[in-house]
Amino acid sequence: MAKSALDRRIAKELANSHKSEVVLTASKRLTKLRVTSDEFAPMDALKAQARSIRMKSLEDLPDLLGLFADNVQRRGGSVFFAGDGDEATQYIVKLAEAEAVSSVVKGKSMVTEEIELNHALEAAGMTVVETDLGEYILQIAGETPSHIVAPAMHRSKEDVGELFEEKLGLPYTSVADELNAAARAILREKFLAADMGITGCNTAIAEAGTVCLVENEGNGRLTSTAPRILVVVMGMERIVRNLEEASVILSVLARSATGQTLGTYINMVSGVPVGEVDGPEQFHVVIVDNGRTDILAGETAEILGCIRCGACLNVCPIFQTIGGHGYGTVYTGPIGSVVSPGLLGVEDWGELAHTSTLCGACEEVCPIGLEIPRMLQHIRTQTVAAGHSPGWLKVGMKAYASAASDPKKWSRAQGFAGLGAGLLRSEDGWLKSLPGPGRGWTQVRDFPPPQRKTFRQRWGERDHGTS
Amino acid sequence: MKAGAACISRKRWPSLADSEVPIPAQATPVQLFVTCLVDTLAPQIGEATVAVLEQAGCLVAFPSGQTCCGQPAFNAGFNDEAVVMARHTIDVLDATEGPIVVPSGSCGDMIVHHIPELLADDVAYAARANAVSKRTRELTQFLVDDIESPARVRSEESVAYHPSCHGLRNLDLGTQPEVLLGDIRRADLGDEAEVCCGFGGMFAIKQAAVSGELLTRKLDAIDASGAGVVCGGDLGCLMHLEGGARRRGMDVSFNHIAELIETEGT
Amino acid sequence: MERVEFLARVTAALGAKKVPQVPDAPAVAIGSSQDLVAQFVAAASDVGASIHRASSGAEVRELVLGIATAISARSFISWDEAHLGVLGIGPFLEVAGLEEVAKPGDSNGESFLTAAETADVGVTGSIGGLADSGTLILNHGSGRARIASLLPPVHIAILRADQLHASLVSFCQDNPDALEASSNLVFVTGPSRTGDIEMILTTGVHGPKEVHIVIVE
Repeated sequence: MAKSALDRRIAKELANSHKSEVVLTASKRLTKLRVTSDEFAPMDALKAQARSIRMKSLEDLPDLLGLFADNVQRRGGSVFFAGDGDEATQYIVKLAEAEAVSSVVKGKSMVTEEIELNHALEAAGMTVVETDLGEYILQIAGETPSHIVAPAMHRSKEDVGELFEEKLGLPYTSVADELNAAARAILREKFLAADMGITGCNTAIAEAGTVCLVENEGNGRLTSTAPRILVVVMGMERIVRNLEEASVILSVLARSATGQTLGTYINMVSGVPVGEVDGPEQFHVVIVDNGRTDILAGETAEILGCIRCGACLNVCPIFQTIGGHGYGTVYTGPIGSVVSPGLLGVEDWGELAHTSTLCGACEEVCPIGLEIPRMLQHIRTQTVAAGHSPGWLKVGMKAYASAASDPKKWSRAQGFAGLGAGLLRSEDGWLKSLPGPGRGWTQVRDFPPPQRKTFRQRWGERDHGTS
Repeated sequence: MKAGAACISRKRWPSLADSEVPIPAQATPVQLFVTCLVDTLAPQIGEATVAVLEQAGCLVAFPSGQTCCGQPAFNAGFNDEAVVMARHTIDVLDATEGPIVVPSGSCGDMIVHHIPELLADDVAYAARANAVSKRTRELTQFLVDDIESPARVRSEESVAYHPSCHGLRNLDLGTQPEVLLGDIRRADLGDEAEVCCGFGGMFAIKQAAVSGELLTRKLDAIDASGAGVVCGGDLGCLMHLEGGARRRGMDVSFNHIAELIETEGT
Repeated sequence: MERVEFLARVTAALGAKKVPQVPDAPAVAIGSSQDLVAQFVAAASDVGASIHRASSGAEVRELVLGIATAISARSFISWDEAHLGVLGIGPFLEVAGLEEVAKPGDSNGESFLTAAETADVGVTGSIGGLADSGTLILNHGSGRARIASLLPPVHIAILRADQLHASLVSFCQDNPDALEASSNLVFVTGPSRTGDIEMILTTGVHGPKEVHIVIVE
């Protein structure tokens, strides 16, 4: 079988055992931290309410977005509706140019990676600095994030120490406290000097025209406070109706992501402050579609209910093994395996949906109860319908289905299989090497020995007495 | 590896005529859906399942037209082929009555949940698929929840239990195997117990390297637990685990839970 | 894209009716309303905030000065007195030798931020707290600078014991219009932290390294 780009990427990740170990340890630790007990909050009931809120928000989306835009404007902000990533980046670049912006600070935002905003701003001559510590590390390293919530989880402290030494000229240290202090000092200057701050949006609140940002470091607050222009980029689906609904989402978010009751800072930004001593002078919200309406119209619509907690990534055995970089997309892990084919096309990314055992751990931990295995299976049917299956599998499945609908054919097929396998058996009976596609099996394990009689044959030969 | 122990069943296969365990007059008639993997690759698990059911007071029938529930096709995204097999399975099972017992969580999940979904818009099959779904019970569910059988696992060695993902998460098979395991000596897989073993059907072949990594991880946990026996409810997982253990030269046996169950007095 | 066209596309996509129908789930009550103060103290301590108790304005002033002295603070910024809930804190600190480097009445802009950046301590009030998480509710606005709770390495917040709520959900259920009254409503739970480097928890990454909560009963 020819190796696809995905296979090559996975092989590369598996070959980096240091990185693999760091990813596995971090994922397992985050999984254990996740709040599952009902000690202070009835988790099942909370998750049921969260699911209900998100699904209803999707159903009411045009109404909510309209309401949100009206209220942002009422409170002094501007709203731009971007049909695709290019429209969004062009709006922001034009704004930056018109406002003579030379330096930009950014809070962590998946959607800005999705639309490649940094690239567009840099091409227009602006300096863009990522201020979330993990993202800052990646920016210096020239790498992409490997996890939604802990983007640099694949890097050990020694890695970061070496990086800071090489790229920032700082004396080497692998003490996390010292690395953080160094980053704080450097980034503090950037915050205070920046002309524009760009953030994402955890959830927008329609009735108040408010954007909620959740974080632990404080860089999001600084990004949305210090520079004179604030731009918030949001996927169109990241919205709820009112403050109470937002509080439910915010209550499951940190509990699922890191085991915290709440993120350190829940930062609710509403419009342009008047008569205040700090805060931005301009507030822009860029609402992005970029393929989300296509997802909304299909069988994976509910994936838009995701609140980006990252719990599914942490618990996924595939993610734990290949890391975020194995996927090769902005959105990785189980959520990414559904969203990426949706946003970027089944043609190129449907393979991600096959890179799963459908174990269901993701659905089990998801605070919105997203039926990820169901959606992965659906994408698999799309890849089959598009003809992306290997030839041997297409032929094999047809033959299998044909034999399975006729018990006589079935028995004959079993007989042939037994004969064939009998030719390959080794001394202890188990098969060490299977031909053709079976190679994949025997690459890592033996195959059970052929049986002289099938169950149905034995049953047929059993003396059933009189009944 | 236990020499020559190529999954030899520990259960006798008595003929009904000379069975030492009389089938009671009020025997519960059950239909056995043995699964394609067991039928072809591990018939002794089918025999063990029959023996367990008979010893629990059931009269076991084997609808001979059964072949495969269609899960391999469904999981791989081949819905057309899955529908063909689903229809055939419903034709066969709907012509029977009584509980349908399946010694596999994943096949049980297929018949209970996915076949009705696949045939939901098929006028000739939808209602029948729902009826069959309601009658279908995974083996441990049937023994513990339905007939409250006193049968329990017996083992001289410490046993590690591997809960297969579909059964665990889609059929809620958390407590039933634990009840059957009773108070025998257990080997603890800790946090790794409920992590997928990496089989995943076609995944085992298409993503062999990743499948192998997860296999190694599970075998490491089994090794660390000191288990003499690993038991589970799904042949797919067990084949994958045992195949890897052999490759690695591990001295552990692998058995379907049906092969380890005995009832008092047998 | 024009708003009308954008929303029309969303409406069209919804016509396919692919969003799962989910039953209305009842509003969940989170947090218990027994002894909110004790819960709050436990939760806030858990996330690394330091708790101080006071029962008069004078005690509050002494506590604030005590915290500032303990870290050898030489400068501070503060919310406007009217929003602290206790009078005279600023002057009290000034008399003890601390300098107020940026005042609430100052105009906005770079100079205010640059001055504020040098402050060793930031003093704010709050409009309440959340007992189950040990969280402060800060309604930034006029006379209530955002950066007072953000830039200085030490943040001192004054919280009234009778303004505690059981949880975020209960606060939001009881105060549905809270967002209208503040341009920046922020819920602060402990000091700034990150686990981004190998999951090793460190504090004071961008925001304050120390959070001191003076509970006034």
